[in-house]
Amino acid sequence: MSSQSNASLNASLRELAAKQGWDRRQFLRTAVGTAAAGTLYGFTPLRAMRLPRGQKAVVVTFGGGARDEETFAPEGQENIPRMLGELIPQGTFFTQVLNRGILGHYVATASLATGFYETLNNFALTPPQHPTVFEYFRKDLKRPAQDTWVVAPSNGFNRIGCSDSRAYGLGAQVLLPKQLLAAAMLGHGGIDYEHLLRDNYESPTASPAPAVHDEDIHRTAEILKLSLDDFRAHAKSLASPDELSVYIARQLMRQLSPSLLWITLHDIDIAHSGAYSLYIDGIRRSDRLCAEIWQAIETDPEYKGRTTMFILPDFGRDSDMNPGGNGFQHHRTGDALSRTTWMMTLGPGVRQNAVVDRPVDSLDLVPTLGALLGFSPTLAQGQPLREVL
Amino acid sequence: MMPAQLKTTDFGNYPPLATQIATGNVELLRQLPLVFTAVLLREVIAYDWRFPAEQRQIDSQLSLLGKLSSTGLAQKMAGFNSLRLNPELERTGWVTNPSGFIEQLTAWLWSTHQMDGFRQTADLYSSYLSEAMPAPEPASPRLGIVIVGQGVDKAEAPLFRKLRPKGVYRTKVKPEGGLEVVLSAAAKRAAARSEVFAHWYIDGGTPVPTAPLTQISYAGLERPRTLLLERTQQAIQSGSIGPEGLRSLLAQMKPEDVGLQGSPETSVLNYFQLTLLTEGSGTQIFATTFAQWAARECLRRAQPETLVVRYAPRQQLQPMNEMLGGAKAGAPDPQGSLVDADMGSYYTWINMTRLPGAERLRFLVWFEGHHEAVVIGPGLPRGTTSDSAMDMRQVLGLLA
Repeated sequence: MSSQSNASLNASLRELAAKQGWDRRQFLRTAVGTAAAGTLYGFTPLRAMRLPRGQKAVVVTFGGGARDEETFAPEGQENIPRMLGELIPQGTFFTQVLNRGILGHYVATASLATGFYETLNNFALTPPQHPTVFEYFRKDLKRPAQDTWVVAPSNGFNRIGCSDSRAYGLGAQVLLPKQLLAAAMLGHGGIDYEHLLRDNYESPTASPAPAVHDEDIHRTAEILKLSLDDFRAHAKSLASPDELSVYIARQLMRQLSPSLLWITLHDIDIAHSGAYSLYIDGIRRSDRLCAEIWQAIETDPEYKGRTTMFILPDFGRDSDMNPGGNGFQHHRTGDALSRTTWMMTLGPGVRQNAVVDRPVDSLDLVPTLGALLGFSPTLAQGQPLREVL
Repeated sequence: MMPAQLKTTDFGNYPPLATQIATGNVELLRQLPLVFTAVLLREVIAYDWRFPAEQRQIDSQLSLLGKLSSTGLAQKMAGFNSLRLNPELERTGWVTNPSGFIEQLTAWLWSTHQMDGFRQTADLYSSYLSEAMPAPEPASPRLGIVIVGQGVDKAEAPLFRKLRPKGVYRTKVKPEGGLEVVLSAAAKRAAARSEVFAHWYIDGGTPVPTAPLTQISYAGLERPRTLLLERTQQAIQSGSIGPEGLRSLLAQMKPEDVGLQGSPETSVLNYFQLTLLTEGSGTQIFATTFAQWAARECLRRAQPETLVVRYAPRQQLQPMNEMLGGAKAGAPDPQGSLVDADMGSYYTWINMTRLPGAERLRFLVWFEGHHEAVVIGPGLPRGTTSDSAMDMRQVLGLLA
């Protein structure tokens, strides 16, 4: 590909992304009504200056993006009432977040966590090639292991907490709630674990399960101050793996109050099965769970008033109009819709009711976290987002 | 090996018609870039099991490229030629297994950030083909009919929101005998114009036998689905195969591997049904996904003049708490299936508008057993609602 055609491709991607972002702004206007538009689009600098910087950060990613049609567009707004009604008015919303990397969930989430477009095998148990945000955080701030955690949906994410970089190497502990549940339920037969533990929706094959030993289960249960009986009983009241992940994350917050917590939700990616109603269910559940996580932050004295939360899909999904795809089902075409998504930021020092239209890169997350928490992600390629600093 | 080194004997394991096509065009193939050759051979190698519309496209494309001057061909291939390739790719058996090559190529293009460039090149080439060899118009205007909502007493959400702006939303369709009327009308079209694979009926459940339509169904593929899932499970449990390996394994399967046997005349349809299950995601487990994907692939590949798609309830996705409670899986989810089918009908309409003759397209979506339908066609006002009563025969009369 010549540099000229690359340039024209990038220009057209930018143009489409800009349109997408503009659409999101318009959609937001319809959601909140014109009376509120002034506050929605105006910054609130006094409040931003008055409040202290966040000392903790919670990052929530969706492994399985949701399209505007099903979220911010007028016909989709019924699916995200909590984000529109509770979260967006309290935060800064970025309408154009571009992902220029590989559109697979593990590799894309790893890229979000390193600030570098990783090229690892999406379906292998491989660590990121570049230092993760967790390693920068621990090394620069001299933080102990228990101060940063990842709660992730599938086996493939087992290695996301730490790169194979020799200069770093101390990263986050990774909890895989479904694996914990499987281990906890051992001996409680008659259950279709194969289905329950379906590793991911992108591929018919699962990544190999990492070994979960008895002592690991008991150690984790001890850390979380959970008896296995309680864990089993609670799991039976939850409808989906993402609910289990949020339950585990909340236990972590209560017991260890980690300063950097990363939660990856995955229910939306059921879209790969082609069942539209299940995809919509996933969006509605994620909307509710994001609001519940924020509520947990706001009601926990360890977090309230000192925590910045970031919510972002790892990327989008294919457009209905791209003949190379099959609409919402996949994210294979690499078209502008599948590469353009959004991000929401809430917390002290973050402007409320603010919308940022300029295009930003999904790699900007790590440098922004670095600027907020005070570490230097030297190998990350993005730029700190000035709007939330 | 590179395309310039191709010999006619390299196509020895191709099926008979594919061998003829490949050997007859070996001079041309030798001048093409590796990536393009592999993509083209992936089409050629399955020539014997392609639908007539696909065979025409392959023939026309080869003929078109064969007539270009060396300079003209080089210009058309410049984008493909400029892709940076891994030497390992050149060493793969891309002649005998072009699908396997493309699996590896895809991973390479993603990892080297060349996927966007490849896509742009492919789009440019596709535009060139559309302009240079426009697909023939259908002999009669295409007719698409999608029937949704089997087993649902009352829809919990408004239906057809995406299709209503395209035509007339009718609220008083008399449902009595509607299915029979629809199938009979489709059969009549098929009887009148007997080109093979031009008139289809796809059922997400158990079909109503309707000769002479080409007919496939989710229920009719129960055994192949079961065998395929067993085979997939075995491969996964062996622990020696990853996603790419599994896809390659599935791509190399033959219809008889999943119990799809029959006379040589049925081989085209058997291969098509096999690919629905091996290439479609979710088609093996959800009846609604099967119906939507089958319709998409049927339109893309066979380009039929008539297509009837009837959705049936898919199995429920069991919530985690029910699963942990040991509840039995497999209960139907009619309401969820209606939502799936509603979206599926929109996708079928989109896919029909991509085919030649879209301006003459006739389309109907109907809530089975109920009064709601949307009718789209030339001369019918868009974005309107009609509350006048009509039976299905009269509704189809609007599309005559």
